Amino acid sequence: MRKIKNVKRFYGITDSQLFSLLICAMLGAGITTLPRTTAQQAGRDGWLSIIIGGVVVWLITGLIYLLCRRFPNKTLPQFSMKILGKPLGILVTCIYIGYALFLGGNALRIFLDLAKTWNLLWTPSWAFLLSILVVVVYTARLGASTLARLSELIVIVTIPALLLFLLPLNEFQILHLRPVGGEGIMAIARGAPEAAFAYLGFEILVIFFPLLVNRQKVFRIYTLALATVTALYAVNNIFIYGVLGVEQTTLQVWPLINYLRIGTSPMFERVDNIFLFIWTAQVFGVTAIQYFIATFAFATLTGKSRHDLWALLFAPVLYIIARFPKRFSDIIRVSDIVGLWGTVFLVSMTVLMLLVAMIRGLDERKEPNA
Amino acid sequence: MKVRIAFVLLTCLLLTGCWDQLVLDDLAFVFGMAIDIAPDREGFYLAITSLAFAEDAQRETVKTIVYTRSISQGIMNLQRQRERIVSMGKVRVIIFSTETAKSKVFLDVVNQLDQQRDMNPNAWVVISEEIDAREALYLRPPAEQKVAVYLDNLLTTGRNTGQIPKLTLSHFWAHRHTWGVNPIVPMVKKTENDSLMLSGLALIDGEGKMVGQLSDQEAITFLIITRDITRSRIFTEVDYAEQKNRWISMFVKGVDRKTHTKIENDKAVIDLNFRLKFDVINLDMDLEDVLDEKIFSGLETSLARDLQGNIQKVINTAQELKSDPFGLGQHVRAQNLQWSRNKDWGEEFSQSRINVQVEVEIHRIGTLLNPRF
Repeated sequence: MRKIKNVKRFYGITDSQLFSLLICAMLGAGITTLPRTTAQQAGRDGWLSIIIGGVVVWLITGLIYLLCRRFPNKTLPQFSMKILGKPLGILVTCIYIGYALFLGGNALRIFLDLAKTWNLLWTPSWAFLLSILVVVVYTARLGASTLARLSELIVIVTIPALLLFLLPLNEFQILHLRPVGGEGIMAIARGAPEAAFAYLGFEILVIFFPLLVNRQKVFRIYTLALATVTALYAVNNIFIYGVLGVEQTTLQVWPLINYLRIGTSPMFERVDNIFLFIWTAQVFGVTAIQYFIATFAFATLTGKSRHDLWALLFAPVLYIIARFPKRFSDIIRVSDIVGLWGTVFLVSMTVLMLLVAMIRGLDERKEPNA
Repeated sequence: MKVRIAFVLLTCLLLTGCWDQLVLDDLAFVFGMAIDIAPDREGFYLAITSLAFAEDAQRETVKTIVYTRSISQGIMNLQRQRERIVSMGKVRVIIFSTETAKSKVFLDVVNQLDQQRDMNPNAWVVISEEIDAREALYLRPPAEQKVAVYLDNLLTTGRNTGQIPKLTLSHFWAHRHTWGVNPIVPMVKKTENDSLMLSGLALIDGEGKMVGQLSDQEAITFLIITRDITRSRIFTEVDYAEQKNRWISMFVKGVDRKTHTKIENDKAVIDLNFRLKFDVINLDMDLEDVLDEKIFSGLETSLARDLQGNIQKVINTAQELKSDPFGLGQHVRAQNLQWSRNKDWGEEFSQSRINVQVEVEIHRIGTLLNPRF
């Protein structure tokens, strides 16, 4: 009896841990470039595109929740095979594994380039990647509950980083944002997909759902996490547009860093460096979560419980993905491909499986031993 | 065992930054930069001043000058003369000569500074009047041996006492790129005792060149127009009743501005309605008894007329030079977005009709019942 209690305590994911996992999975390196990418499409209304993107992602999340709750004790590899049959289920899972590895690797690579541009100019890429990768692998091997607990810590560490956003605000000019909505509905809509890509990671429920302690509140927690990330992204855009101006934002490769450099504090001379230092934890978080998901899904797919072994063996794959793009333009291209096709895959996969499950009447909640 | 592994991993993580370690003793922190266009009109002279840390150094600051075609090349050339690594992260002031500010070198240099990763974006940009920038940087003001520190303090105090607007590199970049506003740069000139004084503001046009200047008094009017005035005092001459050209000085306690724009015959029409709040410091008038309400309103009317003229004059000067440092174009864009698309605001601003209305409120009238008793 005591053993069972311990199992619950160590392997179940609590509400706050789910919230932290979601925040860590969505917040990555994208926040550093999001103001530029949305401004290029939607001008000074880029922040409205982010809100629309958030609403769209919330709707997709609703579908994922509807799908997952039909199979409360199964992860994606398991329920995809049950819904679509073994060959298609394996295919869907393999694509998802590839997507997760690319998403994690890409976040790592963007952050590497950011660091090498601004403060670690002479540190070799391999040293930077390996130092993070070793910790990512170590954490991923320890399992979902360790990852969830670590995510809680990362979220706590992130809060001071967000306070740094306030430092350049004495240069804020509301005129840079006016007229609100002036760019037109079409322009704002064009910016929404760019914004939606920044939320990738929201789909982690397909792996973590069976591990949740309290499944009744899942959607509420999801909504809260999405609202938090949406607010953070939108406020990030508003602050940067208000200080740098939209025209200048579109000229900067890393507008967030240019924004933070303007901030001064009696304690820190270079606010941007402090931010990068803290944000390393956030990028580590998103990489570790996606890496865990990929290796865990693969372990489930192979029908073996040696997740810790796969977590070691996949490390070179993640390293190659992060090192693979040579030029910065390659990184952006990979990022765009992962963003676009990742979203298409997630939406189509969810809709397809939900429809098939509904048509076939697959719902494990109705099964007596569920 | 796990604790040991975690310790090793953490150590690895912390050690990676050592590739980029910069030992403080190896750095030459640049505090001030001066840029003068070279006679060939293509290159420029880059002068820097940095602190000498050695105990047996002959001077407190080290001054170095090189000829260069770009900032990066200039830093490389400077490095050849310095035994320490030149570091730009603590630059506090960048001085351009007037001749440089009127050339294309000005914008080229400011744009190049935007791309220097370790450049301090909060460094002041300033233009030297009558003397070369390097001469200004090599002055030894009696109050402070380190001229960059002196100039930084002078500019900051000028800003805090309502003499000049804040104009750092980041402001310059933002105003340079934003539609409907042009940068404006503080100017300094040499005084008789080898110090520097604030002498006005340089107007910059859409091409990023200095095209004109506002005097020190007009600079205060500029600050009133932009509502960027803090703890300032103004002096002016007014006609009051039968008394002509009487001096009055006041603290500026508040400026409200309402800006309405519209498009008429494809041209912008801008209405600026000011409400200015003053406390009189002293005045040179025979007022019999300042407690009389009529005296307040009479003075307010006189002052409003005077300030309306001053404001209109400063705006007209800027319009003639096709430079809008007030950011009025941003209001036009905010209220008439469709019209503003694909328009050159510099041209449009020069042809805009700008109507100024000023109301003045005097809250306090000084310390004497009749100043000319």
